[in-house]
Amino acid sequence: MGGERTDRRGQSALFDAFLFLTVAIVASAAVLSYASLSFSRSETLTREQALGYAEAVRVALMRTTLGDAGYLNRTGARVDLGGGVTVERFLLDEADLRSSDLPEANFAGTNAAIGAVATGLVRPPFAVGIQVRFDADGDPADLWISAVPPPDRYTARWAYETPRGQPVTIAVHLWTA
Amino acid sequence: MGGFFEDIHVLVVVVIGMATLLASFAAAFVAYEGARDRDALLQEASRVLRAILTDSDLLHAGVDALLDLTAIAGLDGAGLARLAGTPHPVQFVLSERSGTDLRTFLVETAPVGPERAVAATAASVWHSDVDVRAARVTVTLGG
Repeated sequence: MGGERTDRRGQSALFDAFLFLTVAIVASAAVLSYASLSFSRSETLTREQALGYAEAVRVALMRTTLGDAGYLNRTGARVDLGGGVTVERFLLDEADLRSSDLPEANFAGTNAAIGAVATGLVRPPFAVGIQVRFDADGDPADLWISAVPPPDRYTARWAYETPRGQPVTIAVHLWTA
Repeated sequence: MGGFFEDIHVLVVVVIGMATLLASFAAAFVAYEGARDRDALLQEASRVLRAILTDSDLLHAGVDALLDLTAIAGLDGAGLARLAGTPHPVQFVLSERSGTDLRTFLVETAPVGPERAVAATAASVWHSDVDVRAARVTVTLGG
């Protein structure tokens, strides 16, 4: 009888020890999971930083001059704007001309050049899209250069009024591919 | 005798449990310290980047993030160290992304080691009134 009591006490103590070990392992896993999740924040860009970066990209892109800007007029002849035209100036003129029913294809060459500059400017892992919103026959119309962005994106935009008094908004969207 | 061996077993299991718990606390503390150091270095890199993009000696006509080509070409390690005002090694890279004959500038105060933090943004380089180029600007700070 005395030996059985000792065995039961011993087994009970061993059971308690394994219970403690289980709790210790679970607690350790919880501590390590929390540490790895909360302390890795510094590796990722916050939304605020990404929006700031989008604004920096917008400003740099709008200031950039185009080497060979131009478009095709209604007769199909190329209108050469020469060097020194900024991306901002070209897009505003394009919005003005598009609202006068000049088709988007007439600006394809310079739009492609703007898209190439924007794509080269943003750093990985971001992708970029440029949106120009203007009035077309009283309705808003959008011109997209590069890709159309997904809903989850970081946007920097600026509102303008063209010399003909037309409201135009130019937005630069960034998103992670 | 059976009781003695059971006690030893219990002791071993408890010691393993305690060691596991203490090791996880130690690992979490090391991760916390590392993250704090990385955060501090990253903030310092962002501060140095802002200092460069707003320094009147490097800007054209005092416009933020519009860097003057001549000033950038004349920037050396000593000038970068003065601008940065940090004891960490600094590497500054500017890479033009538009125009012809794309140029890349690299200036560093000392080689940055494997422990580093990087801050990058977009800016412009003024070559002339009819030639303003988009550029990627990157500042890397050594740990």
